[in-house]
Amino acid sequence: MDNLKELLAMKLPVFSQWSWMPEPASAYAGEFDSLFFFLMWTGLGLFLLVIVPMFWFMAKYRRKNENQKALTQKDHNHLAETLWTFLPMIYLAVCFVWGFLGFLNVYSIPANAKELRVIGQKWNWTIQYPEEGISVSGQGAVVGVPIDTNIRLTMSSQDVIHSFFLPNFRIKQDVLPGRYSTLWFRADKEGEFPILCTEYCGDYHSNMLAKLKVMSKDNYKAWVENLKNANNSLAPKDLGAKLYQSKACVTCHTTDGAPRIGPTFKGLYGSTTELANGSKMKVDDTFIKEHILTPTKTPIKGYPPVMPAFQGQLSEVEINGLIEFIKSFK
Amino acid sequence: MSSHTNYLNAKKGFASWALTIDHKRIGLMYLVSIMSFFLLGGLFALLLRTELLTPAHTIVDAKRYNQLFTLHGAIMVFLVIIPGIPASLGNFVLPLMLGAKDVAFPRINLASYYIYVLGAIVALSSLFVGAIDTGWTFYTPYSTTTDGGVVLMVTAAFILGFSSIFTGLNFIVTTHKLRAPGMTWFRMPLFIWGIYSTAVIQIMATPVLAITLLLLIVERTLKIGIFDPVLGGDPVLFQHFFWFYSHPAVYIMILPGMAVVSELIAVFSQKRIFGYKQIAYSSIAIAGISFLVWGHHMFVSGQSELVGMIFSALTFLVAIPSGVKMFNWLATMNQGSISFKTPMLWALGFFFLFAIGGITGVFLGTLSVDVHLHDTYFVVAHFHYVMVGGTFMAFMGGIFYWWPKMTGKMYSEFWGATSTLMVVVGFNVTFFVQFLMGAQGMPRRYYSYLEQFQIYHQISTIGSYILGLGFVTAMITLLVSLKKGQNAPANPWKAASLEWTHTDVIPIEHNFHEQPVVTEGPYEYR
Repeated sequence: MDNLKELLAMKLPVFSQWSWMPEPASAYAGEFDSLFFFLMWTGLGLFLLVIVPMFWFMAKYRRKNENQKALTQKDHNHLAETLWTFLPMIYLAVCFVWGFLGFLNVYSIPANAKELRVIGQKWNWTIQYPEEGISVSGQGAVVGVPIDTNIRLTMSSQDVIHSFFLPNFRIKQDVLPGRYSTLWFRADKEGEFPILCTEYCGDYHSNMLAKLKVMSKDNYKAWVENLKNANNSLAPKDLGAKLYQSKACVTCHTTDGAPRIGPTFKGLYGSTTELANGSKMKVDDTFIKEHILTPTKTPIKGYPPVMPAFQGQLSEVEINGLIEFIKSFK
Repeated sequence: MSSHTNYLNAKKGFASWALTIDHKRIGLMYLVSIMSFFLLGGLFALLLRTELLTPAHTIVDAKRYNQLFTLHGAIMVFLVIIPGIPASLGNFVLPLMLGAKDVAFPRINLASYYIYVLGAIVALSSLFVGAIDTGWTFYTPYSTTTDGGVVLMVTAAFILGFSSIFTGLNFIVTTHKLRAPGMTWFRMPLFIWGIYSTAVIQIMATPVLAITLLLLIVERTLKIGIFDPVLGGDPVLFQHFFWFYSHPAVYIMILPGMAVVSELIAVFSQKRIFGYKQIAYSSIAIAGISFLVWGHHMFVSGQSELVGMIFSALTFLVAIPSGVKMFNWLATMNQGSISFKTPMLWALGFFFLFAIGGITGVFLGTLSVDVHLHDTYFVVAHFHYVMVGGTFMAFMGGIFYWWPKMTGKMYSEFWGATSTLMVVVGFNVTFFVQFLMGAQGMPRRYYSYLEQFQIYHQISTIGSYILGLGFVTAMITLLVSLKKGQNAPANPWKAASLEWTHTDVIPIEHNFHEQPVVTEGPYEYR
């Protein structure tokens, strides 16, 4: 899968190989890192607090001859026992409060935030821009956002549970079927940052990648305009080819006759196919449209009914594009 | 000595084992079964680590990889670590330690073993229907919609739950009713306290899992909407139900490990255990609090922020009794007479690895930090440090410790020590880099990954080979001792608890020639 290879090779200038954290891309990420490193250094301190004495005792009190007895049989010390019960409570209380404050930040969404809608489905993300009237989707989709702007994501899933993860922003949130969840961020650095799915969702869970592209406000405007114009001016077949990649049809359908999860497109148009219920149908424009919009209604014999429904996600122009694209593989 | 009758040679033939109601034989049968499944689960782990050597296809495709990590998790959790110490070592040792002839209900004990075998057969038969690919957590609605043997695997977990309940029930009643004269609660070895606390969780939490799994089966087969939103259900409800059991189950796994380590540290320091009551009560405290922390698996699941806050606070609370145990063990070693026999090496390995597991747990209990780390390799590393670095190290320590009592044989100290070292080194190489890549944003359960993570994955895979070799070496060491080992004395470690002081080299069928009478605590070394 070329698409996948390209995705995995995404050269993201955001990880420096041996640092603990990916490069922060928001003010919140910076605050998060302070807490993380507090935990790390105090954690290291605590570790040494028990491990150094362990090795010290191992060396000092090792049994040098068979009959050596312990130096004492003293088995309690109230002061010590009280201290090591209550001192950790203070430390843990600090961790708790600090972590809770950060958590509040993640989930207190500013009122003026610009809204994007996120839809998770096996195995790609769709991001809709209600204000601009555009949407992007597919494995490797580029999700443009303006810098220094509060962005609110309203997320839902079409099938199973997914999780929307932005490592450079230190945030993630599960994306559920049947309810909406929200997340917000404010990018303060231009660049491309990975979007990952972190709730296991099946075969190609790990291909459910996209790129968040943070741009200056002017560049963002131009990016939106470009996207608006791009689809309308394409030849139907080329639009179909584009959607074939971006809607992740490529994950399950080949164009060269090779078998995969779904039927290959080669020679599909005009052929006669058998449905799971035994009836036979000719693959024509209506058949293709129906099987893109509501594929599990009339599943095809020999293929698992796993294709997501695209009802409400594709325009008539786009569907025509896909039909022309499929037609082209004789 | 071996010419005397003991529980191993008193009766002969297959039926004398298959139908035995002797807790020692049942313990041994459990031990052999659990270790076999450990090897199988470990094999799956090595296969999936090998696949991760490269970001794309290495040896298997995505679907197969997903099945591998599911089987690895399900086998290790349900067939190895949950029954692990209680069913094998607990069964063997608990009545001996209490000065009892057997557990309270020997036939239920045997039934628990066969239920375990039945559960295991059902679990493995799912492989032939089509291996399950949901992850061991069976999250809905993925698990209600994917194909493969989900129902069989879930049924297996359901069945195995009864085995767990039977064992727990037996231990609770045995501890209450069959203690030797003079064996007061505070003269019981701490191993018993740990196993007893575990049994309480087993009895109280397992039914919730059983009900949850039953609901899942009902939804899958009858299409009644419980968890799947398409049918009108709620997928997050499943997570609440699942973790209501499965978090306490984490303590079903770790408490027995702590129980073993309390014995090992005291015996191999030849010193009365420090803070006996504190350790005993901390086991009970852990068992109690363990029921109130399940929501920390769900900080980003969409549960309310208030709920998240409460679960975070309660989670920190459970860190206190665990910390208390660590400090008490340390104080026990202070001014002791420390010997570095193989069991103690495992205990020291436990101490080292469990400290890391515990401290990284604080990261994950901290709300905002968990948001970033949740479902990444950081979590994978954390729970392996606790479950393998903690529980399994203790399990191995326990096996090496009680081996002379079980078999009457001593093993090679050299090979025992070598295997411990290999495991500790291999373990750290495998899992420490996983903290690093998890913090950097490498999600778990990924078949392919961004190329920049490759170096971490390769280090981790090499570590897993060393780790695997270490465990195999340990097992060979034990097996070789059966043939070539020297005969053990009755109390090779100069321990002071009844299973060493009042039994033959290999105990007789009814454990003691005459009823032991207890006049002092279990850690009076002279």
